[in-house]
Amino acid sequence: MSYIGIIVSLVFVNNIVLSQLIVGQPFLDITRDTKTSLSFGLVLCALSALCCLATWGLYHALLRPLGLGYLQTLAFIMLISGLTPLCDLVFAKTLPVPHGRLRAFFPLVSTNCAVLGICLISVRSGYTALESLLAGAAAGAGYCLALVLLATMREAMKKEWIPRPFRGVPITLVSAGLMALAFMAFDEALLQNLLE
Amino acid sequence: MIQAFRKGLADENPLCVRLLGLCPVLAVSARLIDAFAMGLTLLAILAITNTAMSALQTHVPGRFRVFVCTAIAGSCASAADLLMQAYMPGLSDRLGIFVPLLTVNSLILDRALGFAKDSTPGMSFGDALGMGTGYLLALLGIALIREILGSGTITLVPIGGFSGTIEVPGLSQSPIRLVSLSAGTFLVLGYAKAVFDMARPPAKTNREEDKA
Amino acid sequence: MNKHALAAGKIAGICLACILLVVLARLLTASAIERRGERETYQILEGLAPGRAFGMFRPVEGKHPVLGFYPSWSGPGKAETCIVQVQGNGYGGGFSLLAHCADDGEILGARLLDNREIPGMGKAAQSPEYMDKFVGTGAAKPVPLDPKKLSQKDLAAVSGVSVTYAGIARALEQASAFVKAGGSKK
Repeated sequence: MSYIGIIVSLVFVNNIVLSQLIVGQPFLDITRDTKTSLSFGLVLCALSALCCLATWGLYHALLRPLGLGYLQTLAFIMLISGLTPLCDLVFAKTLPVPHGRLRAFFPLVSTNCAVLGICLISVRSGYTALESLLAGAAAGAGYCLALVLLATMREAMKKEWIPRPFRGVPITLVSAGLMALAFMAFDEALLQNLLE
Repeated sequence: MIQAFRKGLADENPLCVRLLGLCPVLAVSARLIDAFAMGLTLLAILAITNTAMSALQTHVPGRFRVFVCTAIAGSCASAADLLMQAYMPGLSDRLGIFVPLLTVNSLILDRALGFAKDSTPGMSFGDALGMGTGYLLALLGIALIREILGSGTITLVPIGGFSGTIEVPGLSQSPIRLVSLSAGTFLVLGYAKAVFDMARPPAKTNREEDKA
Repeated sequence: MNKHALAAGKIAGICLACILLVVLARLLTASAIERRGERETYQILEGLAPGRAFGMFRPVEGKHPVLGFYPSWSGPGKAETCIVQVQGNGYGGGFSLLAHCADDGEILGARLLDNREIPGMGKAAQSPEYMDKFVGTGAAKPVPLDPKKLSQKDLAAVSGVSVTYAGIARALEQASAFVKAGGSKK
């Protein structure tokens, strides 16, 4: 049961972008078109699930028994930025399809606030291994959802006339704000009614 | 070095022109004092990381640069987090996870991986100070707007008989709550950016602007 | 090969320096953070049992939901009551709470210490009034484990989160049972 709770909570109620405001830099650059957003979102989702599990292992196998909990940020970022190139390598070896475009996303993912953020959140919430994996995937899925929705909105806006000062970044931020407002419909009461 | 300092304030202001380091802006700009603390922390981490990266540039092979940069920024952010927990508990509770998240702040990564790569440590230090100060000022501006509209108060440091909070007449009884919510942050930032662009012609550095 | 080894050595050195910086910061701040934690706990204790004196925290050995307790007394002499720290299970995460218990296991007050449930769950339980319905139970009256048996007014305060409620009730019952069994006298 609590697994469903974690997923619903992180995808909708506490969406990492729209409600917790952990926004990585590529958020504005990558949402130019839907396809790029979707593929970036999926790469981020897969990697954040993996990183969450790996950092859970690191914390519970090494840092906590040794009483080095205060090193978590440093240890996690080292692990994440070591793990991503490794995944890139495995990806390149195993995937039959060419993935040149996807590879460009890997460095962006390893330095994304959302990945480090969800790793820290799930360790601080005391999740189990499976819960961490799910939390990573759910947070990634929430990020992906926000990216794709925003990209769809931006594509639709290309046809509209926008006042000159608002073109480009400002209208994107305002759209993201309105989307965050819409996501407020997914509140804690909804979560509780759904789960009880 | 002076020139490197000045360009961060206006022409290449990281927040107003290039929208770097959005994460802390969105998260902690609901109170003026939090924004000030966050901006100052970022300035310190940026200065250390930028100078260190520029001093180490010949020793680190290209493909490990990101790793080394995040490691340095990460250790500074952890240290800052510990210091805050010890001496400013209230602030540390409010800033929460966003202090460790400065590790992967895009402003720090951009300066330490981009600018510091081919500059002397002195230049990089100046650049970091300029960028950090420019960021701090812009962040204070956003926080001021958000706090006045969203809660009708201005929170400063309590000194002596002064409680640390100024109440804006009228707004403090019926503030525009939307502005202090997470949705309001995006809205305020969007409008602020539009007003800023209107006030000055967009600089060439902003690719987004040219394409649109 | 030599060149690679040198580069690797340099990067390892940088990493080591980074770790040392954090360790140094930790050494500088550890005592201040600990003092702050103690002060905060003391404030909670003071709120739970105003005007009483407290002893040092006495941990309980072994795997037990009760982590330990603070003996407490109103005047000179033997400890009369104690404040038990107990762990419970909530929704997708645990929490720990402090329960002020009399010698016969009666609950005099309780306060949630930290809540690691899914964000958004059990927020109502953080307010001190939430615990009012447990006060006076544990000795003559049993701890109300089933939320259906609560009065209408108390039920409204629970706000439908029965997982959190059940977790808190069970934890409080364990705290009460621990004191009743004389755990705080050993």
